[in-house]
Amino acid sequence: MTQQALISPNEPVYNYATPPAQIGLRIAQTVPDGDEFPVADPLYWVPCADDVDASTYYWNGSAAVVKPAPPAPVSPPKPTLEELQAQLAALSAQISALGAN
Amino acid sequence: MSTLKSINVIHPSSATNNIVNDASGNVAIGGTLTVGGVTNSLGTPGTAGNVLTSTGSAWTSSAPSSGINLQNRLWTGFSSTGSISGTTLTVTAVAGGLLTVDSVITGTGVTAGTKITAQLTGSFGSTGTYTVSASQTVSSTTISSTGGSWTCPAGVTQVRATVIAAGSGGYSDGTTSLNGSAGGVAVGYYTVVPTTVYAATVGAASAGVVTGTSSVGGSSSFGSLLSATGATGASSGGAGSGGAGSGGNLTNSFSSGVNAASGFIPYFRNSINQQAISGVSSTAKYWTPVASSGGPYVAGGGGAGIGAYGGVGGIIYLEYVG
Repeated sequence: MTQQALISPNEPVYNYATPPAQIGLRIAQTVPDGDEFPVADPLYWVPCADDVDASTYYWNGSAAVVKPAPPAPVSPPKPTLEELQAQLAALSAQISALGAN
Repeated sequence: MSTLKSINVIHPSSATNNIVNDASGNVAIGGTLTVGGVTNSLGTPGTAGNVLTSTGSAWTSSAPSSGINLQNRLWTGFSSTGSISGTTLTVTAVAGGLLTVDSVITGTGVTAGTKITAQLTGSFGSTGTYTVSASQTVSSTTISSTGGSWTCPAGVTQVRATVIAAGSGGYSDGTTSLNGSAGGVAVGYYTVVPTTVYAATVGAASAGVVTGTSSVGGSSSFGSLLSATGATGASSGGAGSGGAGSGGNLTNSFSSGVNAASGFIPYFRNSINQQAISGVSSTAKYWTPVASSGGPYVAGGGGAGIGAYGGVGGIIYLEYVG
């Protein structure tokens, strides 16, 4: 352990479940051993492994662990020919109505 | 020395009081006055509005203090180019931040723990000359700072402190652009102890990125009294989130979004030697190394996405009566 992680209890980390559940606390910053600076409560420092960084890890109460990856975005299903024709008809109707005005 | 604010004179054997405030508002004194067992020599008339003080054996009359002596300190962190000869630091360029008193400087050949003690010439915090705490000879090199410390002077027991953490850089890959976020803010009044040294740590902003995620903004802290965490980085997946204040007994804000700390602009403009600390640089939007260019100074703000600008560094601002 040659690093120290600054733990921020004011900033909980949640998973991506529905509803979301708290899984730990934010690691606000990492510094080399000996470079810690005084901080106000409730912030505190803990030793952590060299590869821990504040962007991708959080503190689960006893160790720094990698944040869960957000779920991949779900693409909407491709519309059918009938659906596209219906949308086109609706748009045509709207355009005609505008022309009548 | 004690200050005479008022005296109720009781004179059992005479109608003449020892201290008379005449119709012009002058304080006339006659005879002797014994205070706390010490007999003071009286006889020097006071002047209207003056304050009488006693050394224990005589009274003097002098004009009152002109007002409250409000002191302040500011730490922004900085990066500059300079050299040191003796105790004079000559700064020829400032790449970011402001050089301020009580900032600890680092650089190749610089004696550890060297602090800026005064600015001699130049615009506030910019190029010019400064005195430093340790005599040394340093050739032109990068001189930087991430804060410093403040030793509480004698007689100072209360401070108002503001701590702002750094913002994160924006993201732009040419198609998607997302702003960085702002650092947290904490503000409070605190009881301090003379001769105690309080560390002042200023968080550094992260740069904007065109791929991946910008780094988190650095946290800022004034001793263990109050702190604020920096913003999380921006990426193609989101703008990140703001940092949070801790320990502030007036404000602990959870900043969100770019530019969130902008509410502090008037406060700083009116408090630091009437200097408008403002401007926009090419590498970090909303940030300036000097006070000469236009635009707002937004400590701790996030960098703009379009252009992938860097965030803005944090600051610590301290006020006290000294």
